[in-house]
Amino acid sequence: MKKRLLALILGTVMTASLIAGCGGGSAGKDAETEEEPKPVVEAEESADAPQDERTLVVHLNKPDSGFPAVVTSPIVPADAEDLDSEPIGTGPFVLSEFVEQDYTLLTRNEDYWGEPAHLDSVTLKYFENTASLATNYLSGAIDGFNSNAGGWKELEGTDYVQNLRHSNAVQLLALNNEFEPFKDVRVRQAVAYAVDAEEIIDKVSYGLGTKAGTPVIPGLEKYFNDELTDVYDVNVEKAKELLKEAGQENLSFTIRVPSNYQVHVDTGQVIANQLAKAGIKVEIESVDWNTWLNRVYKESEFEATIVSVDGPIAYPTSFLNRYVSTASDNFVNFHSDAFDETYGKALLATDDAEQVKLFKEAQKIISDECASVYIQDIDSVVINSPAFAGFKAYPLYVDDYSALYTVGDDGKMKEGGDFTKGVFTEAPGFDPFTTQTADARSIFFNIYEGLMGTDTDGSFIPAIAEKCEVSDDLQTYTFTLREGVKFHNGNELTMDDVTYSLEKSIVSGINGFNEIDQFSAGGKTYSVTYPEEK
Amino acid sequence: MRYFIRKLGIMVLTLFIISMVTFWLFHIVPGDPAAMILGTSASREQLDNLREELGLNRPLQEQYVEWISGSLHGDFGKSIQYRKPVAKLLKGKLSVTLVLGAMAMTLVIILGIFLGVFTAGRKHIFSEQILNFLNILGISFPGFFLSILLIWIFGLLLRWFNPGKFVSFSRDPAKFFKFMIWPAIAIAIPQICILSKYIRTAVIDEARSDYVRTARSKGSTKNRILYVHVLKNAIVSVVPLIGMIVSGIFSGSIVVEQVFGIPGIGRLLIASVSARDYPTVQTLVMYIAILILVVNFIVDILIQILDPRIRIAR
Repeated sequence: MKKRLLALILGTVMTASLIAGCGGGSAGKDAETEEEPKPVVEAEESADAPQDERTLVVHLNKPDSGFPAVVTSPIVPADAEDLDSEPIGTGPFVLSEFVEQDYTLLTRNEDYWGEPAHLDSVTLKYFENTASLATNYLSGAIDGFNSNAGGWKELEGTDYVQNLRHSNAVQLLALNNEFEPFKDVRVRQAVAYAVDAEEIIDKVSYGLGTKAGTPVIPGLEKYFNDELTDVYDVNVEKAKELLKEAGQENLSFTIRVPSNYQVHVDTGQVIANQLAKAGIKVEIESVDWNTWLNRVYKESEFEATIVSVDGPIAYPTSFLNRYVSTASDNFVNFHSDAFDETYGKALLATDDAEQVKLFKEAQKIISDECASVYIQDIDSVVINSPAFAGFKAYPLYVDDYSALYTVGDDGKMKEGGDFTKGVFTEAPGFDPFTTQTADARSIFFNIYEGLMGTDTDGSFIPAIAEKCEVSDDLQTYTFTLREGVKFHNGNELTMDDVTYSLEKSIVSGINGFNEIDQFSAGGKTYSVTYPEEK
Repeated sequence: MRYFIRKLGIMVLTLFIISMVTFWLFHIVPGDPAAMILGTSASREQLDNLREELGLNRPLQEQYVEWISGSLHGDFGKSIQYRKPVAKLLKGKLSVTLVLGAMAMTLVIILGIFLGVFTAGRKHIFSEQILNFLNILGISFPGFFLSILLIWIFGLLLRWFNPGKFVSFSRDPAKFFKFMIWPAIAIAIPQICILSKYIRTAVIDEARSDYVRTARSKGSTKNRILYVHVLKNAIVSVVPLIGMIVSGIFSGSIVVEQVFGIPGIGRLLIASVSARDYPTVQTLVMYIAILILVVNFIVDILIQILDPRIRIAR
């Protein structure tokens, strides 16, 4: 079983020759410190490579029909110096200003190759807490905000447009499979039978959520196994029975919840009550987000926890890969040979229908083994002032501002306008290769573009590449670059920028770039060597 | 002179101890800044690599020595959260907080002194009780509550200002001051109450002095005696309070900045603590400590100059 997320390095990225030369060490670092090996890209002149400046051929080390999802990763200029503070992409918006703890200003990219954005600018105004968003909407300081945990309730009786979209993250009651009682699948199942997802959706999400039953988001319709949604419908008797069989009638455990997410804290309370009915004693421990990330997520120091897990790309690997026994982000410590095998087969499948079937089967194994309790995809409630329209939802955790427009007095679209959105998180930096938080990605969606883009229905559409062709064996992809694409700095995008960005993606390991054998363009072939698995 | 040098020595020593305590304390708190940057889609390898890159894997003593020697050269390190030099990060924020502090200080001095003297002159039992009650109320209201109250009354009900719309000075100075006056009031109120109470007591004490009787017998008006002779002496006795008020204003602004959404150092400090952004937190704590120590130092010297009795007593 090949590990999907290989050892990766962040940060300094070097040119092909440099990487080939030093094979692992990065400049300016202590030579004695042990480093994770990272992929190496070597370039050499090649007669077989396309000689023109517009064709890119990528060869994979295994067939993959999902590869277009991977190349949605950003294309940046090869000479970009500091993307963190001066991001340069090709997207419909340009980052004009970022004042920490205050606002992020995006302005329209006038030179956009496609249909330019309607709005002149979008200001993301930062607020310390979610509670103040509704107040600030009412006072007119902001034109919209994403409302979680029922913040929109405060707006009742006022003028607003409520847009719904999946948050594209599955909220789960994660059970640490290494925790002694949870080593027994019957105990995990008992917990699952005792949890009533519908009540949680009702009480915590005000009815605005979609039942999950599997780690894959329901919005990914093609791959989401909807047969699993009701498998563990609430059944207290069955839960008691299973606990008795397992000799765990006095089961008690602690749920460690991240205190900054009100929705998870509330869910914890509801679950505690539900489990009590089956005789399970639950204690809730609230920890701050940093402690959560560090102890629960990174070190797996927990018995149970509640969190929503999102994915960087709209593809099942985003959600399933962490259940591979050897996956480094397998924080629930799930181990199933059957899953590893089926998932591995799914990755290698050449036939699309077959692959979909295997991905669904893999989800069924997770459900049968009851790796955790998959509750819901909480709807994101996007509140906008009636003065703005054009909201678009994607199967990704993103806000698309290019589609948004001002509504004129006649009720029709009016070009121009400034939109201020209230947000409660900010991007710590704008380098898409190092910053991976969900909210940062949402901003990146408007600034950067990849060879391919994601459409509202989850399909992949040409972006910087105007054409994508795939060989019958699903191992060779040929991209034709669009002409006349300009970066935000005014420079025309060239093949050098594309190969540079691909290298950067491979080395930094975003989007799961670990299946490219080689790629060739502009008379050169770049071969990729991945580090040996440990 | 010897006194001056001794005070200076104590100040440097205090700063050193503060720097050490903040450094160790923040490293004891659990949490990992790398985890905050990468979020839930990070693998453990990515985390380890980032920790390495941020220099978080090295021994604490090493990190401390590097930081302290860097700060002495004006290099405060790089913010972990924003990945840019701390000095650059602070540039815009420090001025916002200093302006806010200065506005609050001005309010405190003008209103505190005026109210103190004004109330000292009125010794009717009934009005004294009311004033006393209001004073206690003002002192005991926590800053965040006062802020919420101001936002609610003047922002949402009366609509005199827009609570979420902070505008930076460079964008529009008039709007900037129009907005900042409200948080300044929220910070100032408790301090005004404290100062006016002290001034009042001092004025009443001074009013019993012999020179007041002399002035009165010379035919000076009540207000002239109060605002010229008595106030001058009363202020000397409240100068030591200035140090306390300044630290009160700064600790107040940390909270008030949160509520009003002002991007100053108070807000940055809280955000940096939750992001475990050690270099930024340490630098901010040092900034605040230096500011308060310097103010106290100046106050000590001022007292020496203003009140010859203290000098002689020494």
